[in-house]
Amino acid sequence: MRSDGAWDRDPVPDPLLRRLVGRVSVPPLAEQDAARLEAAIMSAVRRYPGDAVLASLISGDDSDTLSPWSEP
Amino acid sequence: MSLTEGAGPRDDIAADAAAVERVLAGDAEAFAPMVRRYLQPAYNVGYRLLGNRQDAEDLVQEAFLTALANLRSFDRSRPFGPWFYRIVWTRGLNLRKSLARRAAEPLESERHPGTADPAADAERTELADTVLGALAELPERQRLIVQLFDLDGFSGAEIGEMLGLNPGTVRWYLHQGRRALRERLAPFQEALDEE
Repeated sequence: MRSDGAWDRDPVPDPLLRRLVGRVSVPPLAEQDAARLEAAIMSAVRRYPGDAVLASLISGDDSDTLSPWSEP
Repeated sequence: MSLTEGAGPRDDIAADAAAVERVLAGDAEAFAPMVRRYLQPAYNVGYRLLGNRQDAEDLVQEAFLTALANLRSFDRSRPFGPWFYRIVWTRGLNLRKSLARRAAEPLESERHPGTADPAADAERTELADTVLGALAELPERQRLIVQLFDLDGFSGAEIGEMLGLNPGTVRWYLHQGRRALRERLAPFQEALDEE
């Protein structure tokens, strides 16, 4: 922590970085893709059999979801 | 912040808490507005982490179902977004491990299409290559934090909750990442100003 409290608040946006990095970044999810994805999610949700049952159906193990970050 | 435009944070918390209540009571349709609200930012997080659209979409679907399955553990007095993004993030790390891919690889395919001006295209390609190179040289944590903050509009606190880091630590990584990028990209500021 710096003595001037610089890490206590978010910095202002950097327009140069935003413009440069934005050039090679993924564009937002297209409207039709978002609609398709939302429909797929809601289709699964409508079969929602109750959280305990659904939890058992979801693949994967949540036990490491709170693992500390590790650099690859 | 920009990810939940159209309502203030208190409104969001109240609306999400009411929706969660209805979902837990068996009204599946009440989940739809939440999916709509958090879909794009969740996709952005997934893309930053996994580096391609299909995996990001798969992750978003899985994360919403995971959130649904764990909805009873959600504290309705708190915002839904950070809790949900944490799920996206942790599931994304797990998915990435299983996919054994490097997140930076697909950035190569995200360049803008060419135009009728070959000289201008060549200049843009050089710029894109430089930006990609500068990003790729950052430690991954710095790169992801810069992208989540400067491009996707997440706050330091939100990123901190997502990554399990203190917000001050997030800002420090942001500072380091920005400084490294500025040094590499400063020569292009003049070219950008002329556009």
